[in-house]
Formats: sequence, structure tokens, C-alpha cells
Amino acid sequence: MADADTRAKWDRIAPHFDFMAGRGAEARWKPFKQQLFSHMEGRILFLALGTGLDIATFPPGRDITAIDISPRMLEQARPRIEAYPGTIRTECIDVHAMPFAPDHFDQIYTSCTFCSVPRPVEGLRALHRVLKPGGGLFMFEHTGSRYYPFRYMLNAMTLLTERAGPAMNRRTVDNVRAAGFKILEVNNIFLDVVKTVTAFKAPV
Amino acid sequence: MFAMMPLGMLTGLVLSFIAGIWLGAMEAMVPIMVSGELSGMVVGMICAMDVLSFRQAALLGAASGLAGILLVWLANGMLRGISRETGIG
Ligand SMILES: C[S@@+](CC[C@H](N)C(=O)[O-])C[C@H]1O[C@@H](n2cnc3c(N)ncnc32)[C@H](O)[C@@H]1O
Repeated sequence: MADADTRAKWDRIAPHFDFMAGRGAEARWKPFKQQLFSHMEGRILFLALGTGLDIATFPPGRDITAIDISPRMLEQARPRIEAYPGTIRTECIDVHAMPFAPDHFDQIYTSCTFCSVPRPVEGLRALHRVLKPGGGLFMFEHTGSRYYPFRYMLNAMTLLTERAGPAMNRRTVDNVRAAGFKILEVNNIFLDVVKTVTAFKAPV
Repeated sequence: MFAMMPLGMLTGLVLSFIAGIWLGAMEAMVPIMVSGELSGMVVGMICAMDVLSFRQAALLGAASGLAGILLVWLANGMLRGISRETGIG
């Protein structure tokens, strides 16, 4: 999918996104996100801020650069950004075309992002480039499953969901490895589908 | 039987999207789909062998649906948790 299509897709979803994702899912996942984001320190990149649902789980007082491909998603995030007791600078850019210098960030965070980035390994390589050697990648993601019947179901679901939003069958942990990161920890929160992944860029 | 399985899964898929809004995306979608698939399979299989009244079919479907949810719950108990890697390799 061309990046203009990705942007158009998420722009279309933006007005309805909070209705779909802001209730049950957020309530269930909040403690896990809070725990993951509690590690935020230094120069932080947050990939795919969306409508800013994650902001409520950020620790206060951090200085965060947040990007997203969809201007309408970021527009929806505005009140949450303003209410955050710290600094969130947003930029409407594609992860594949980030203008940041190599080794720029101390840490990178993602949340339900690599179900949506159309070329995940390339996107992860782009993150690898802008992360400092030794820096951490912290992800909260839902992925496909390795096990029957879940694997087939998530594949079937993806046929429907990918048209309107995220894919349900990504192999994100493998993709993280393929992009050159070293995995430290995978925490399965629900089956092997909802999980947090902690990885880092090898020090030079 | 084989037609009922995808039908059950499809019904589960539609219901799961609705339930997912309030109950949490994956945690609702996956069990509802599994229970749809299992009830579709069981009711389809029994229907192919015997004549079932609507009430019997509904009861059988509900029972296998519950079994599907139990299955997901058990699988979740096994798959949840932390796995650590050395970071090397
Ligand atoms: C499922 S939403 C998650 C939003 C938010 N993190 C949350 O959990 O509520 C996925 C987000 O990824 C963004 N996205 C998709 N492809 C992208 C890309 N190539 N570059 C940057 N952002 C992208 C979409 O615009 C969307 O806001």
C-alpha cells in the first residue's frame, strides 16, 4: 500500500477511532502500557501517537517527540497533548521518511503501531537508524499467533480489518529481529497475541 | 459441517467486533470467534448425522460456545507470561 493510501485510510478512521478503541481495549491495556511507559527517560520518540489515547499512561514531565502519518489523527490528539503535564512535540511524518539524524533518540516507544505500518521491517529499520547504540525500543503491540486456531482466525480477520485499519496477523517479534534489534523480553499479555516487547540496538 | 464452521466463525467475527468495543479488542474478539467456530462445527456435525430440533441445536451451540471460551481461557493461562532473551543473536 502506498503511503498516501495509508494516510488516507487513517484520516478516514480518525473521527471514529476513539469510539472503537478508546473504551474496552484502553481500560484492559492501561496497566500494561503504564508499566511499559514508566521507563521513559532521555530523548524519546513515540511512533504513531494516533488520537493520543496513550498519553494518559505516560509518566509526567517527559520530553517526547511524537509522530504519526495521519494529520487528522494528530488533530484529534490535540486536547490530550495540551493536557499532558510535560512536553509532547508532534510531527506529521511517515516512519519510512523520518528527517531525524542517525542515533538521535535514547528510547523509542510504539503502541499498536506495527499492526498498521504497511512495511513493518522497513519501518523498524528506520527506527533502528535513529536510535542511539545501546538505546531501547519499547513496544506494546498486538500480533498474529503461532498457534491453531488463533493463527487462522487472525489471518481471516485481517482480510477484513486491513481494509479499514490494522492487520491482525503481523509477526512483529520476528520483524524486530529482522530489523537488527536485539530482543530482551517479550511479555505475552493475552495469549501470544497482545504483548509488550523490549529490545535494544547493539552498542558499537 | 464444513460450511457451518466458517458460518459460525463469521457470525463470531461480526459479534466480536461489536463486543470488542466494550470488552476490549482481542480479549473479546478471539474467544467469541473460537466459540462461533466450535459451535458451528459441533452443530453442523450433529445435524449431518441426526435430525435436531431448534431447541436442541441452540442448546448444543451454546454449550460448545462456552467450551470454546473455556478453551481460550486455558490457552491464555498457558501462553501468558514473560520470556527473556539474552539480547545476543
Ligand atoms: C492502531 S493506531 C494506534 C494509535 C495509538 N498509538 C493508539 O494506540 O491509540 C495506528 C496508528 O499508526 C499510524 N501509522 C500507520 N502507518 C504509519 C506510518 N507509516 N508512519 C507513521 N504512522 C503511521 C496511523 O496513522 C495510526 O494513528
